[in-house]
Formats: sequence, C-alpha cells, structure tokens
Amino acid sequence: MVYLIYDTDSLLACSLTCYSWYIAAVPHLHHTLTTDDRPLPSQYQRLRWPGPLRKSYDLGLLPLVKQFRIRVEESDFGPDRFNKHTLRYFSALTNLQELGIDNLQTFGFVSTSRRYFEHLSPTLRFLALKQPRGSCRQILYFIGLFPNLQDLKLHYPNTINYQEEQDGVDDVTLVPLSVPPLRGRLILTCFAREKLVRDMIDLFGGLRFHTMDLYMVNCVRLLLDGCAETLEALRLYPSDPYSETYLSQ
Amino acid sequence: MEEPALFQQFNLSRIKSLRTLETTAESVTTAGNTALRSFRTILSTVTSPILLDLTIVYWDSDIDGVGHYPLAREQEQEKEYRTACALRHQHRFEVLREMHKARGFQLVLCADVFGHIETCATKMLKRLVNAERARGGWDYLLHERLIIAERRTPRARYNDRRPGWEGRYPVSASAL
Repeated sequence: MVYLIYDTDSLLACSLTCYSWYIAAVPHLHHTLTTDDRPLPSQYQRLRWPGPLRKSYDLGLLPLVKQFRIRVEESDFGPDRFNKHTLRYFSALTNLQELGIDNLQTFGFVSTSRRYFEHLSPTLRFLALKQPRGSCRQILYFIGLFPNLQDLKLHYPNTINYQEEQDGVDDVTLVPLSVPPLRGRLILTCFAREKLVRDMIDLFGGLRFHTMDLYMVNCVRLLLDGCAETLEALRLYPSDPYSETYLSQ
Repeated sequence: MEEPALFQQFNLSRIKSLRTLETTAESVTTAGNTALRSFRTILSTVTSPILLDLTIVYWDSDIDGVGHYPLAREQEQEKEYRTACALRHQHRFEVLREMHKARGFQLVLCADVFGHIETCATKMLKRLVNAERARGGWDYLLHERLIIAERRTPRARYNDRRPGWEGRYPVSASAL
C-alpha cells in the first residue's frame, strides 16, 4: 500500500476492495487536501474554496488530513474567505502538519489570526507561503503563530525583485507570539526580501535551519552566515534552465 | 577560473558542519562551461572537515524515455534521441570529474521522481553507473557512488516537488 501513496486512483481502487484494505488506504487517500481558486476548466470547479473542505467535513475525514494546500491566483486569501460554516470546517483540521497558502493576506489576519489558525499550532510542522502579502513583521507574526514549526517555504512566482511597499515602514511593535524552532528545511524561491530575513534573525533569535534550498535568492550570504553553525545540507541551482522555464509557466 | 561575485555569495568556508551539497542534474549540464565554473568556485570554498556528499538530483525530465513515446516515433528519431541522452549523461559525468578536482566528494545520485517512474529511474542510474565503471570513469572517486530513490523535499507530492513549479491540475483526494 505504501508503494501506492502517490497514486491516488490506485489507492481509491484499493479502498473499495474490502474493509481491511479501506482501513489501510484511507489515511493515505485523505492525506492531502487541496482547494483551488485558479481559473480552471469546468470539471475542476468543485475544487474551489471551500468545496473540498466542506465535502471532507461532511464525511468526517478532515482529522485524517495532514497536508492542506490553498491555491489562489487572482485574488488574496484573507479573513473574508471565512464565515461561520467555513471556519467550522477549517477548525476540524486537527492533525494538520503541512499548510500551504497562496497570496496570504497577512495584514488582514493580524488581529484575528489566532481565531482562525490557533487550532493548527500543536501539530503544524511545515508552512509554505506563496507570495504572501504584507510587511515583513506581519509575515513573521503569522509564522510565529505556530510554535512547533520546523520547515518553511517562501515562494515568489517570478524573478522580478518583489518587495512590499510596507518593507520600508514596518510596524516595529508587532512581535510574533512565539519563536518557532525552525530547525528543518528552508526553501526560498525567487526571494528578494532581505529585510524579512534580517527581521527573522532579530525576532526569532537567529537562524537554525539544518537544510536550505535556495533558488534565485538575493541574500544568500546573509542566510549562509546566519546558519553557519547548523547548516548540514545545501541545495543550489546555480545554472538550472529548467527551473526558470517552469517558473515562467 | 573563479567567479568573484559567485565566490563572494556562495562562500561556504564558515559552515563547519556541511555534509551535503545538492544540485540538479540539469544544473550540471548547462551550455558552455558556466556550470562547471560555478560549481568549482563553490566547491573550492568548502572547508568542512567532514566528507562531503555531492548529491545530484534527477527529476522526471532527466530520466530517459519519460515523456517520450517510442512507438509513435520513427526508428531514426528514436536512435537520435537515445544518442542525445547518452551524450548528455556522459557530459554530466565528465563535468563531475572536473568538479572533483576543486574539492573531493562522495557522489550520490538521487532520483527524486514521481511515483511509478521511481523504478525506471533507479534502473537507469544503475545502468549509467555500471557503464561508467566499465569505462573506468570513476577512478577519481575514493568511495563507491550511491544511488538512492527518494522524495527528499518535505512531503513531496506531484504539485510541490519542484521549487516554484506549479502544475496546472492538482491531484489529491479532493479531486476525486
């Protein structure tokens, strides 16, 4: 069964064989949940927020979900995405270990983030933010909501130097609620927000990552110096044309 | 030979516990000598006393035959494709040999591929390593090279495997 964990269709077939196969297959089958608000063909409309979340909630499957990915393309993901129903569904993700959110509107969640995300704090180990909106402090405040976080991925979609306007005038009174260990893997892609790294060093008391995966990053020197004591593995792409091709898609 | 800007940015001399340097197979074989110069510069800065693993990560696109349909191709085209693949692998191993002159390492070939391609990828790497051994191409390495088939990125699923890469259609239980 483990051999099939990446093959959803085969897992589904296994789960229909008998009860014991269902029990073996179901944790893998519902390991990953994705909502997708990008412009997709009509047959994928059912993936739009909060469709998959609601469906899994109705079937009592959300405690099985270990990885949840929220894909957004043309808008932001802010508090307006939640109402009393969606908040109830989202709160049922009690064993989530990995969370990925596109275009997270961190400034929108500053005052209310605990209400929406606190239930994830005991279990969440990996946070992936694609093009997070907000100032450096606001992003770090969001990261600080998860006191057991080990791995972090910050991903920008292109090589244009992306800097929020707020980077220059940040709210220095905004302090993260906790200091996550962040001893696992740091993945940065097309990353040009050096101030975010500097603030992370200040607010989290340094960098402690054991592994770094860096593609088109403007502050490599700062990161390498910051992790000089702990870094064991480094992945680099000094001249990989494929990554560039795929990034432009 | 060294590139000052790259040397400045990727100077690894302060990292004393570095065990593994990873890169992609495609990074090793870019046009001209850019890749070789970059890697030699970076490797020359490593001062960690620990034996360094140089891990070359093969993605799906680096595996021979993936995305190609031999039955639909003319025999001549197929021969050209196979020849191009063989030359690419050979060139990659030659670059690795040159890189070793800058700093010794233990070579690890890692197939980080999607699902069922894993078996095919491992077979291909074994075949390449054996062919290179037969040519005497590994004489510069002190240790046996390793082949692993592993999904090394955190919880690598098809959609998130490649940094920055976004598949058009998600594949997860929610899509069923």
